Amino acid sequence: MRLGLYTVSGVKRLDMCPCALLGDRASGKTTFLGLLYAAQVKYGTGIRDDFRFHAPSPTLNMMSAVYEGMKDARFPSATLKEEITELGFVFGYLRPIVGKLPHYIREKDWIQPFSTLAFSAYDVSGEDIEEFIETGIAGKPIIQQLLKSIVVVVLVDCSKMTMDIDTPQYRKMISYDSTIAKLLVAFQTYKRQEASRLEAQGIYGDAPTIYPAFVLSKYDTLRDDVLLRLGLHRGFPPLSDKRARRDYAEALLRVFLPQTLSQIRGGKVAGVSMDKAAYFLSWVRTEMHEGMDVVGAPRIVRTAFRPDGGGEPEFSFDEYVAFIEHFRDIAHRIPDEIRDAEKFAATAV
Amino acid sequence: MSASRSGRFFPGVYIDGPSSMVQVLIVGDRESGQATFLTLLYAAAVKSGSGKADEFRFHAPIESMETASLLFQQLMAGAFPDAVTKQGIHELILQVDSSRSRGGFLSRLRGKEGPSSLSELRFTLLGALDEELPLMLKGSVTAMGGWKNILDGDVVTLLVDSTKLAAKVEGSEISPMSEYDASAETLMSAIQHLRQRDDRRLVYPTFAFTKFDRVNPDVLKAANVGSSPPRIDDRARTTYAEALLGHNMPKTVALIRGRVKEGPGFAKPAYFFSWVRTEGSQPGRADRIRLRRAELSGWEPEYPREEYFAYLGYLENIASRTRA
Repeated sequence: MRLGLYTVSGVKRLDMCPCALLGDRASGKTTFLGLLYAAQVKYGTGIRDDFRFHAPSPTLNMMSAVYEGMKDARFPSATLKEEITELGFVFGYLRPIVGKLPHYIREKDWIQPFSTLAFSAYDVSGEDIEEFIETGIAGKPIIQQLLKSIVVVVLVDCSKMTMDIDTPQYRKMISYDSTIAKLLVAFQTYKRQEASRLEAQGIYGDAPTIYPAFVLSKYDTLRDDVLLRLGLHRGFPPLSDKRARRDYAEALLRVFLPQTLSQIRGGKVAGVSMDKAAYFLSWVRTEMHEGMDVVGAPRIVRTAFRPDGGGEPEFSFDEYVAFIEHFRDIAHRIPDEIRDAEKFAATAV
Repeated sequence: MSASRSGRFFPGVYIDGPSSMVQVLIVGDRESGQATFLTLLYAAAVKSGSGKADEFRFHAPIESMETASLLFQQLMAGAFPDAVTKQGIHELILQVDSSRSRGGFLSRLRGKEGPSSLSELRFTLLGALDEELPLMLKGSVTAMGGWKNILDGDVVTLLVDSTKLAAKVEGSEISPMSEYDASAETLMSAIQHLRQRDDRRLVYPTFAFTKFDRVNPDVLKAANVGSSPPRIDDRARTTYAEALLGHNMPKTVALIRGRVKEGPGFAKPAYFFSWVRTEGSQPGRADRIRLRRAELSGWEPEYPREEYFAYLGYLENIASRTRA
């Protein structure tokens, strides 16, 4: 999907690769986006200049408002969340070969220096999605856009993970599992059908692939009894140990999102590989009063002032950077598939 | 390595879809637990498909996911399928990677089995045999609902409601299962008759004893068998099952046993046992499924998962024979 010229962030002539960010209501989507904004502002203004970020102004306004609120120790308000219905942003990664070019060549208009991924955030409880799942017809543009996604980011709300099966949280989690599993199967079906159509036109690409990423949101609220029951320790394995991270996250998904996990693995059976799943944490520290229940809305703990900054929300910054970096390789790899799709679209006309 | 039509290789990705399909017809009488059987089958697939060992992979097509996930949700909330959901269940399709039974992980890694090890298992609920025999079996040339699949069925799974099993009936007394037995015999002989000119393949009869935790102990005693069935791989299982079926479903058993004389018709039957534990029932309230906490895992219903997994394995073997 070619979206023309972007100049705001220096990301030029985008081959947009759609990516979906899925989350249940109150799963921490807005907070996630606010913290992601904070992380990418900090990370994207580094000396290397190999990552850039762009968002349309409504999204940018909201993300910065969320972040500003967090700097005042507040979580995003419900009113703020309702102000905007569609959230989207673009990650741009400097192409490796471009990075080696002299700066004056890099600046030329004919250079496409960045591989890009366009994220759109969806509320999976939304009526559009439910309607699609029930009817199987992707009539609305938002659903068509969603199905074209190559990257699927699923937010999993750790505060709803409970061993008490008679609670609404448990029931919500089981219901969320069904919805996400169905959506993933819909993604697989769509990708497989698209690949078949391309093949019928004599256009052969690689095996269809979807890159799933799970973000365990509100990780700090994960209950001790859940961890104990599953034989897990508190603390996610380090970023360097991908296997341990996968094992840890899958231990949670196996209990709370079993259908989703089975259909991720079953992607290969459906002819669409989803095996390259990645797992990330999201947490933001909140004020705790020992032995006392917090009265009113929880307040965010902020870092102490230092010479290089401070007064910022204390959150899992490294995980957010890892999240950003995880998509670098994917962004560089995807355009071939997009070009195949474009070629197909052109021949179909 | 599996190859697409383009000639490119995609290790372990089944780009060309299933290479064999097994049509499973599920038959039972009213309240024999057809919907619960299908629910537990899906639950067993989910449990194994999300297991730590990653030895079993399956895909549920989107047309099956809506119903399957609803059934699963109800199960995990401790509820049996409700009447509305039951009305909506006609079919469940599972596409299964069969390489686990022939080399497992290494085989899948190498992709040696390739696309040939992908099977589609298509389960069709035919309906309650005791309520009405389909018109088709009464001579009509038209068939309604799942009955249209009779001619294409590879496996017929007869659900046997264990609560209706009786000890040997003396004299002129009618066995509680006699009507079901007669209907099942009619169905099986119709299938045999319809297939007489079609020697393409065998029909595989399977008996699934449902609600086996509620079988009358006197029945077991009279049949001179233990309280729990022999292990799946134990040959004594056939003896055990036949001891229970012998005087409860004599006509059906006799018809299937006579397979050799009648020519290519039925394969040797297989037997499976199912149950799901329930909470103590309270007056005026529906039975609830008891959920247990599994070791280092979450909640799951108390049911014989290994029986369902064996059933899936049995069907996969049939699929591999079909391929051969």
